Amino acid sequence: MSDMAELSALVPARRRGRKLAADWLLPLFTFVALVGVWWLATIVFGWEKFIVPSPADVGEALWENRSLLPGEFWTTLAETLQGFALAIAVAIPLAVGIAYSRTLERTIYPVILTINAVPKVAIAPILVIWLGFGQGPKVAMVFLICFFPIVLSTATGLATTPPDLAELVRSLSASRTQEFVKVRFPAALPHVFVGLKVAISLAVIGAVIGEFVGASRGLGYIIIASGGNANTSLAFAAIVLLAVMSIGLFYSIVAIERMLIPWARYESR
Amino acid sequence: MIRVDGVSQVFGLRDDIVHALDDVSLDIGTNEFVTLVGRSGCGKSTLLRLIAGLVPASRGEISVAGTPVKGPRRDVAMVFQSPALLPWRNVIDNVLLPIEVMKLDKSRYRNEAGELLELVGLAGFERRQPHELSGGMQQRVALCRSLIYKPKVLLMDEPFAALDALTREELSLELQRIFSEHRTTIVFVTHSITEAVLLADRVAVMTPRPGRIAEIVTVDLPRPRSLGEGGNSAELAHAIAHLHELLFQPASAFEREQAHP
Repeated sequence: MSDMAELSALVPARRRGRKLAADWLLPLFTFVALVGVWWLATIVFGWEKFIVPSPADVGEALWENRSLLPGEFWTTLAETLQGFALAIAVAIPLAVGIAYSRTLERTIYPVILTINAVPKVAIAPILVIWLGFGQGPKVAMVFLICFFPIVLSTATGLATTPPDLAELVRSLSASRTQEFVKVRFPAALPHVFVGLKVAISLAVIGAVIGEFVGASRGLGYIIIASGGNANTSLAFAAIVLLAVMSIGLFYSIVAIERMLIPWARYESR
Repeated sequence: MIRVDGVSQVFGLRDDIVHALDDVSLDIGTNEFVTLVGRSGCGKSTLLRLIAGLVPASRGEISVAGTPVKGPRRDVAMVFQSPALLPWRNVIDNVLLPIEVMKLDKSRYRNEAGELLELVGLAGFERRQPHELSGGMQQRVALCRSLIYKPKVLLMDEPFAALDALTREELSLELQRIFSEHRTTIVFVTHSITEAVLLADRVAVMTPRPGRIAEIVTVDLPRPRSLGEGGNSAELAHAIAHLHELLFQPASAFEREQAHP
């Protein structure tokens, strides 16, 4: 009996261990292997440092600029978060409006589609003219990029309430507000988070585009500036930090999703 | 309690019209248990949804407790084929959902919800999430949710159809027990003849195209009924056989009649 208990206690532990390996060690291995190939290539082909720096050069650039880079990192992060928050604040109410009003859907959807169809890079210089050289145009750029996926996913989520839940609240003669608050919006949250994840993965790109056009701060500005004086290692260092930021933001959204809607993982609807 | 008078229901447009129900009349008494049985497409679910006020009837009158049905109403509860539990609420909060929607004092119904859960054998599951329960347990929660606000009429639309055969039989036995403790008027749609006979005071046999009530069979047997040892299996078998005749034999005769009216 005690042997059985020990055995059954062992099995989940081993399975957990294997899951940990699959979740963390495999991606880490891929990552390390890629950096290794990069490093090897710089040695084998003997590229100049200002054309392709080695991982060591990039590490060195990171270390040498340790007083400069964190500030630039925060600048870009702040722009990204502000633009993202603004996008959520505008997109979700708009999606609610679209889900509830055919008229609003017909009038506003084409406009949103058109705005989304315009290449954002093309608008960047105009945004500078309108909003100046400060944080304004960067936040606006992040907003423009994040806005569309959030509207689309939220509107989709609100339009695809599981029919049995919709019928249930109707049979209880719930008011439209009750229907929205108690069923329709929570049921849409898994969709909303799909949009949020797509948006956050694009958000950093928006901030960098904004900084390319007219900025004196931020990681995007560092890339442009170091390109100007052939400091490719520093440009690479900034790119590494942008990647870290982007991945970190993405997994923050994933963590919030798991905390807020743990049930979504068990839903097979 | 429920009066269905000359009700017809037509779906579709112009050339593609389906007569889901054709001139159906049915009177159901207070605390009576009526099952609607028939093939797919005979209009039994449509009739139920009309009584629930989820769809308006094309023609005819329906009234519950003396007042005409104009939309969903709070003295009529519905149990669906899927449990339709809100996956983000635990068991007790799902049971209390109608209380919340009806803006009643939740704290006063908390005990009641616990008692109902105990009645269906789910004591101790109050804080569980729906995904932790089996299909049969989820359907029991859905039943508690419809009983919590003491409706005059309980409409059940194939509530056990998605469950396995054993759970299904177990739940129909349990429903008899619950029905004996919480008497209400129940209309129960099924396409299981056995289920219909086990549960009902009267079985309304429906035929399709157009949906009509072919016959109403009274099942005058004492409860609890069961197919097991010491149950009244002989009498039940007799009623089941009779319904079989009604449901299987007339299909062809019925279609002949349709071809040469």
